[in-house]
Parts: sequence; structure tokens; C-alpha cells
Amino acid sequence: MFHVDYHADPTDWIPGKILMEEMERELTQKRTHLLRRVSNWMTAVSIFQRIEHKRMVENEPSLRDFEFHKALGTFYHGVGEMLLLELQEQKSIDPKWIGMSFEGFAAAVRSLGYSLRMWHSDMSEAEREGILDAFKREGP
Amino acid sequence: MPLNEKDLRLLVETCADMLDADPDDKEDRMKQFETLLEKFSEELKTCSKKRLAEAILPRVREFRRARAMAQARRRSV
Repeated sequence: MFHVDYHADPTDWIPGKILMEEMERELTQKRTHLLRRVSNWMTAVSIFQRIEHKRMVENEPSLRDFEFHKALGTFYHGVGEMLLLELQEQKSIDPKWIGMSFEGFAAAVRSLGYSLRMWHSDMSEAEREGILDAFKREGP
Repeated sequence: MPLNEKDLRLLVETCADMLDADPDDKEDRMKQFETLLEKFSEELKTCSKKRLAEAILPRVREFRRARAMAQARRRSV
């Protein structure tokens, strides 16, 4: 899928990719404590969002940026949803012990979902304009 | 309450603040954004909260970019 190698640009998506691989390993082994996985997820997403801000918000993203952003973001979002399910099932494990409420973690996962839809929405221009036109028509 | 360009801007800014918020602040910002979405999607009648969010997100992207560039300019002065 990716058409570039790891060393193409040391300042871009590589940290996000490395953290993704680390999480994949954790998921496969299923050995790590749930709170540690939640904490690792928060760190990985925080780094992902810093790269996103630099590559996608502060600068005009390239096709390659879009590819990496979609692939990594979708992965992190999926892992976040899985962790939410696990936290719901194991009520004795409360993320407040790592400085975050369950609701705070759920908000972080939903926020990542909004971010993904912001960059990779499949809504057509016509549909979007149709909805936004309703604002203009009903205005004063 | 009428829906107009000002309301749309409020939605866009609230969403941008939510996306750029620190983890500690994310939950409160998310509540503010989703409450607004709920309110406006009810008033529009024809669209769901999810579709309204999808419609405004490209504007959020433009707003975040403009804000980031303005911040960068201020830092360089």
C-alpha cells in the first residue's frame, strides 16, 4: 500500500508507524495490562496528533500524508474502540488510575473519529452543500 | 432560534477547539460540541447529528489551518 520506505523523511509519520507496530505486537500477545494499553494508546494518539497538526494542518498535506494519516488514524481509532469495549467489560479496571476518566477516554476516541471524518469523509460536495444551505435559508 | 452563518461559525469553532484540546479538556469540549450539534440538527429537522457533523468538518479543517497559520505568524514576529 505504501509507496515509500521508512527513511524517506525522518520528520514525518515514522514515529506513528513504529508505535502502531508496537501496539500490534501488544494486541497479538494479549499480555499487557489493560491500563497500560490505554496509557500507551493515549501516548501514541498524542504523537499521531502532533504529526497530524504539523503535516496536515500547518502545511498542505501531500497524497502520501493522506495515505499515512488514513492508515494510522484508522488503526488507532479501531484500537481505541476495542479498548473502550474492554474497559466497559472490566468494570473493576478504572482508567482514573492513570489520570483519565472513562468518559475522558471515550471522548478522546470519538474525537479521533471526528478527525478521521474531517480528512477522509466520503460525503459528496452536493450533499454537504445541501445540508449547509439549510442554515442559510432559515437564517434571519 | 434562527440558524444562520453565525451559528455555523460557532459550530465550526467549537469543533476545532474540541479537536485541538488537550486530553484533560477533551471531554468538556466534546460535550459542548455535541450539545450544539444536537440542538442544531433538531432545528434543521432534515439532518441527523452525524450528517451535520460531516457537513461542517471541511470548514473546521479550513478554520484550523487559518488559526494555525495566524499563530505561526504571531510566533515569528
